[in-house]
Amino acid sequence: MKKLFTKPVMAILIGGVLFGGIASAHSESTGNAEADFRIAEMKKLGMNMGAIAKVAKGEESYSASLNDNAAQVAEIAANMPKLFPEGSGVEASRAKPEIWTQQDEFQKDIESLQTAAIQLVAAVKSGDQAMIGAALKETGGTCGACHKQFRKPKE
Amino acid sequence: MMCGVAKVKDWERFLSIKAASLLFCGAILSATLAITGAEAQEASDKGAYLTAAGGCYGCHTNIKEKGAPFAGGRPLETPFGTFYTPNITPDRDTGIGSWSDKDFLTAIKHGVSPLDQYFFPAFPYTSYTKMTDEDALAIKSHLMALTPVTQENRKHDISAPFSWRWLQWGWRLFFFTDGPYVPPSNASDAVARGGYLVEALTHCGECHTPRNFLGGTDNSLYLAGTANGGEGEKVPNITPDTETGIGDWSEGDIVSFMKDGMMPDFDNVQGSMEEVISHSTSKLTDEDLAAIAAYLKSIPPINNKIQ
Repeated sequence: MKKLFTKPVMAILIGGVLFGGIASAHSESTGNAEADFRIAEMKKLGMNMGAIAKVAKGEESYSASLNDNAAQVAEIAANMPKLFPEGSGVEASRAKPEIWTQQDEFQKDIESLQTAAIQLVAAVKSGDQAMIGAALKETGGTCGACHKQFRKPKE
Repeated sequence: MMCGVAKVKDWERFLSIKAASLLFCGAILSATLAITGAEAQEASDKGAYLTAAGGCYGCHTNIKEKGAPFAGGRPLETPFGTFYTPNITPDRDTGIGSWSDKDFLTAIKHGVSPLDQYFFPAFPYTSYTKMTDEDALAIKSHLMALTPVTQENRKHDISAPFSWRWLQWGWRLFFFTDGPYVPPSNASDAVARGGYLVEALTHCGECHTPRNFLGGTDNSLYLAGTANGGEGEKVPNITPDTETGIGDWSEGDIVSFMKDGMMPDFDNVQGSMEEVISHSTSKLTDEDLAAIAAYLKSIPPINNKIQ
């Protein structure tokens, strides 16, 4: 019986617990890989904007790395149309079916985000706090406007 | 001749004195008028501001069905049933047009209508009781200056025994503390102002503090959120607990959130809070928002995860 807890067995046990932990951390999965990818990209978008916001609010000082955050925002914005493939509006995702029935309007919302994101890149490059704040507000406004129409509220 | 000259000069002098005094009186008069005008404007601005802070519009307007502002009729879904908010425009028959100052104060600060009926605590008189009379009456002036709208109140859709108004007598005994806002003794000016705004006007606790099975707020979990909020929503913990609350939000994060609904991770809020921000908190001054943030940071952190 003593032999039962040999090193390899322990490794498997510990590995299993760790894996289980990771798997349960992913318990928020929608069950649809495309929807999960979209949610992850949206979170990344938010984190990058959040980093810029800290500087816009004067809580952190400006550094050149902020340009990377702005570039990420613009990149995700440019990629946005590809994040909504047909069939990814699964129940557990907050995407509303209108995304696929009112495509013109949805497309327009994405374009406003893309325009705002390009301006955000320029504003961050300038390093001017007020300009960054204004551009960020504009970009954030496009998030809210689209969510209002096309995203279900949290339960 | 000499006399004539003197007379003319006297006359001129008299005229110039008269003109000067007329000018002087005119100046005083117009200054006085300007002051009263400015004061009236200030008072009405104050009423509008406090009405926004109190969040009256959001509940007393059936926004979804494009109802007239402040004319009521908005359904409020709660675990006890659906309440329909009343008309608070100054219409004499269907609104509050016939209410005296005393009627208004008794209603919003003590939860009793001019017909001597208890209000249900879906109406946050439990918070408004902490308001100063001066602020409450400024709100009344603002409401009384609105365009009256004739719209009958809709009957609440709640089941017995919760629908029995007289039972509110007992409810009040347990869950209603009548009295003004008293800041903690060690509170800074900002925390005291923020506390007054949060506890008396913006009434955050009405949604963010969980309620027991009788609908009384559980003050041991003050602002710690609930999974069974009104409108069927989960309401987040807004105490400064780092793990389950908003402890990792800076005061600046709280201020900007109350202005545009963007959380620090740049997810924007939806649902009831979106309404609160758009109709109430976004209209507050930066100074007041900073005071609210300072207050929210000053309250005890409570570890309460909302699942």
